[in-house]
Amino acid sequence: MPKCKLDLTLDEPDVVHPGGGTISGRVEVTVDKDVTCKGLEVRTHWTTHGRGNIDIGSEDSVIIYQGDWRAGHRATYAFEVPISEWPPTYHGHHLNIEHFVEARANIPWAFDPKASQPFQMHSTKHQGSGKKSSYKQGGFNWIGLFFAFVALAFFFNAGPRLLNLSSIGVWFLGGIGLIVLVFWIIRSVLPKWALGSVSAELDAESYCSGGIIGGTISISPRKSVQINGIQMTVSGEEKCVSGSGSNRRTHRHTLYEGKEQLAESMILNPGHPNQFPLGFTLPGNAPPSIDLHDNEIQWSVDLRIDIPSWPDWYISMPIQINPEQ
Amino acid sequence: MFRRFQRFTNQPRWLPFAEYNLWRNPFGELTREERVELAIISKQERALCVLSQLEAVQLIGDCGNGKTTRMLAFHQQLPDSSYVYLPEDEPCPSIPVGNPILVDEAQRLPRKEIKQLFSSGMPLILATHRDLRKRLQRYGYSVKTITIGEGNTTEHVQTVLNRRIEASRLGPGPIPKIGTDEASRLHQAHGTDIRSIEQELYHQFQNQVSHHA
Repeated sequence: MPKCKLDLTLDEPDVVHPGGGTISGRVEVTVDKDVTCKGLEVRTHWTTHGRGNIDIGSEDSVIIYQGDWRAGHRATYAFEVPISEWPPTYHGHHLNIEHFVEARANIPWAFDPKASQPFQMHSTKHQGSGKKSSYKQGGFNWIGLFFAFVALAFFFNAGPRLLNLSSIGVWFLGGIGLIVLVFWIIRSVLPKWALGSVSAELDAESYCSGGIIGGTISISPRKSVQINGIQMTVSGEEKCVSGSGSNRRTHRHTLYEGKEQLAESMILNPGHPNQFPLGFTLPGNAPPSIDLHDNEIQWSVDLRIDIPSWPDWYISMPIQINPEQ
Repeated sequence: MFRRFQRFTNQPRWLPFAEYNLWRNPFGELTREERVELAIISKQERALCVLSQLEAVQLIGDCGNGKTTRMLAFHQQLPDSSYVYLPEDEPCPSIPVGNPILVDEAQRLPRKEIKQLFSSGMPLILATHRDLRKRLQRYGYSVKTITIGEGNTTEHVQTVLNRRIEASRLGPGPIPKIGTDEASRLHQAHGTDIRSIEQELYHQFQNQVSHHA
């Protein structure tokens, strides 16, 4: 039987509390046997719950009472404790973040009675800088392709002797190398060959929910090239990791995906860079980017240039979403 | 389908699972401490794990049947024991000294470490996917084998799941329960793989909450 029971009540249970501030309330203690309390501690802590491994954090505790409690005693103690600055309360599909106020009575030689109450926290902490982020992909890389072919030819020719491999092993490893090379050519080399130098620039690396993502994409082709269009996709996803070792699994859930057509079907001419402005309004309720070791919310801007009968040019640029002020 | 309940007046309205009198989806990941707290270990298993020199117990079973949960629970219940998890594709960590020594994923023990560990004669509890009886016997061990998963009957599955729901309780009052029929269906669909059952229930519960929201 517990010697004492704790009840925790928050002064404003339905208010969204600002991160880095304080939260107040009271702890009611009911005692049915004489006990010595070495410390009635109150603190706030946060925990993730959902599909990912649990990440937790807490603030320093505050001792609001120390001393003896007599049987039949009933007392109420007020408290005001600090709240973490980060992460904010979040309820998603794979990831949830909950904040609690917890009271615990340190009773010697007995289970410590405790009580807790969840509360909502809104963070105003901003991460990332306001500087521009640039991504540039140069023209067709003849030198890289030449060296890749030379390396592969050398491997097929001298591999059995140098690496002491059977010819089947060489063909197997060489085959894998060839598949990687073909994939790289399709994914990266061919689009560059058609488009020449392409650079994409975002006007910042961090944005607020409801804000506008701006920037430019600039294409300098070596010869006239037809495109079907340029598309900008802004997406946010929850990424949670569960288990470890061979049981490690990654769970992803798309929170938001918005598309914007930056250019329709047209011909890009050489001689001067073809510039297209980027513009996308983020949703007002976009959750902020969060990185808590095994639980993350990631945002990215993806640009795709659709080239008819040719592999598309594609780039993915990570961005930081900060909470609303 | 999980049953919703009338909210108690002091329950926060903004919590997505409050209508079920829960503070979280009960079938998500747990902390190591919670896994130990919720582990169901039979008296026979407990008795088998009281070991002396040159005695070993191996827990054999497939993924998701509860080997690691049992190992963590044994480690907590046996104060002088030591526990080590052998990760895949990483160097073998040093085996800590304990009485007994608990080695999780023991099938990954390299030859050198096997020789060193098994020749120590220390009491061992090994969780493994592969039968290590012959190897242990070669070093003079008497070996007891517990096949994990055999005890995962419909009743056991029901108990495990309801304990998880109870551990996510928000306040006093009723909470959803897994009935015998549902436990039987899950047992038939997933066999002894409790992890896979929990994954199905996680999505079922999450979708139900999102739908009502």
